[in-house]
Amino acid sequence: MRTLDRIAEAIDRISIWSGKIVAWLIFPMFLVLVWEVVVRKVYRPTIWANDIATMAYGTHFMLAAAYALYLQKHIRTDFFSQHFPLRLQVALDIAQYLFFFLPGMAMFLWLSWEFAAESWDLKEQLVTTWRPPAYWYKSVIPLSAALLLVQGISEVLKCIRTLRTGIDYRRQAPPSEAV
Amino acid sequence: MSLEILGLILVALLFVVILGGFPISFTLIFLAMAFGYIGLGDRVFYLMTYQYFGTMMETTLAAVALFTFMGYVLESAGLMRRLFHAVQVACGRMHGSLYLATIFTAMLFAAATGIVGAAVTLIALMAGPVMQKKGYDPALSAGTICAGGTLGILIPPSVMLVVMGPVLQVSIARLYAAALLPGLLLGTLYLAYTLMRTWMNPKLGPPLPAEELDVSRGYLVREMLVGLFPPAVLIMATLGTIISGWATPTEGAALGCAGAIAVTAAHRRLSFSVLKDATFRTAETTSMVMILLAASTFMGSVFSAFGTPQFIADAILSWEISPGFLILSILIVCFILGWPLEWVPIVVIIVPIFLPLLIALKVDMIWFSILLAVTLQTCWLSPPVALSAYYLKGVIPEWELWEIYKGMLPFMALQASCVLILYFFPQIVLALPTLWYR
Repeated sequence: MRTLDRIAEAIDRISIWSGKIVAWLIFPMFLVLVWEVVVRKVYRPTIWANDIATMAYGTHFMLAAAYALYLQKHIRTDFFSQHFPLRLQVALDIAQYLFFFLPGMAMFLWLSWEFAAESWDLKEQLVTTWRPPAYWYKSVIPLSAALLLVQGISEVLKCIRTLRTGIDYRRQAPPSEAV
Repeated sequence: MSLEILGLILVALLFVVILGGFPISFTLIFLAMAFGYIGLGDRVFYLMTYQYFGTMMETTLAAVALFTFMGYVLESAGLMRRLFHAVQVACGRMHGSLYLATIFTAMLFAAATGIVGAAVTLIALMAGPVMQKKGYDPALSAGTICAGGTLGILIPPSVMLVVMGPVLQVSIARLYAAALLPGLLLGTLYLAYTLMRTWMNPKLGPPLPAEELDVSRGYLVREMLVGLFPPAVLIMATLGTIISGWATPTEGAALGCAGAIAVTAAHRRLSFSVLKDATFRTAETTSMVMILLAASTFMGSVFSAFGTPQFIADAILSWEISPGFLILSILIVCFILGWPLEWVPIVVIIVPIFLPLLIALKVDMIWFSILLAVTLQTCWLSPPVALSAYYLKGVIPEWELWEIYKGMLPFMALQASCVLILYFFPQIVLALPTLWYR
């Protein structure tokens, strides 16, 4: 069983790193837009700033999804379930990961893979003035689906460990931090 | 079984499963996919990737990430301290001066930032300890801080209005113009209420001791001006550029990020760890909001393909209930859902269900958005999921949760009366957008 725990830890580390890396995309996102506003006023608008900001924004929230899952940030309504006994809570979690989450994400991975693959085949471009390649950006979807799927497995492993030991190994959600 | 009924079952099931305590986004994705496959066959798969990519191409929504980042950076700037102190000293002789100072700075900060978490934390850090020390009433103090901080989500720039714009198909710049006066009205109501309470019972807010008020007029004026400068810069950079049409809401948010970093640097609070912290927290929060938004966009498209929203609209319209009553009913539904849910699921999941009904009733969407935005203020104050109370409790652990809740109730009543005022006087909402955008 040690191996399983170690797998969960390794997966968590992947999610943490992926999240912390894409988090920095916030800087190009706002910097290109600031540049655009300034340069539009003194010279003329760029054709690329908007596209770069858009791609930074999409990549930012999609690829950080697994990190947010690891941190238990995704909104849940747990004011009923938090009063359940620990083992029941965990069993419910496992059931929902197995029946909802993992099949859903597996489907999502497969479909978005085809969606991106088609774009690569066509060497597709985004329908904007600048027309940057679309296939890189579309590949973000299967990548984030894969990260989510793997992180889901780690969550199931942590739930199983909790069931086995009676100690809660799930990461405790901080009092949720919405905007 | 007809598709419309299948859609109704989907919604009903959704509610049951949401209460199971699993992250809503993923429940939505799975249920929409499963039901979509039953109803639409393979078509649902195209719908899914298409809708996700559609959300990723919606540049406007980048403003969610940018405003969040701006708010988190400002949170560490200690921005309003000098202004708060100046206002507090200037009106120190009257009872309840700290309530006044809190609401005033909260309104100003709300106009400079777009998220609530940062606002409540910042205001609680600033006002809470002082209120405790001066023997202010804990319940009324807690209510003032929470309600004041929550104004951030109504007074533009606001992340909630950014999300609401695409959902209700109205321009975000117009929503911002429309939200200004209602935000001011709500703040004034809070002010009037707290001052009335202290006037009736002066023990709730004793005046400040004389030695603290012994400052020269010149010092006071200087502190006021220096204190007003940073929020003024931020408001010009963000709200000013958006409303004047200089910048799109997304660009305004980007300017706000630059402004927030500049202001924090000017306060000598900028460091790598501040930026890193804000960067990581922004990714977590944005991803949570946006994944939910994308998932519910997908579910909404399945739902519309089933024809269920139109079906609901037709059914309700056939009862021939007066439109005004229907609008109030929708708002009441959103209010009730605000107790267990946060605003994000309400705006992105619940509101689209009623969209065809609102369109059929020819409701002015800007007016409705603002009514909804004021209603959803209560989300932050209503237990058990009262986020403002959690933020406050995090800063001032000595205040009991029940005391905070008790203090927030009257403010929820004020919010309800604000909804009614705006309902009967739509001019308050529509005056500025018609004036500026014609």
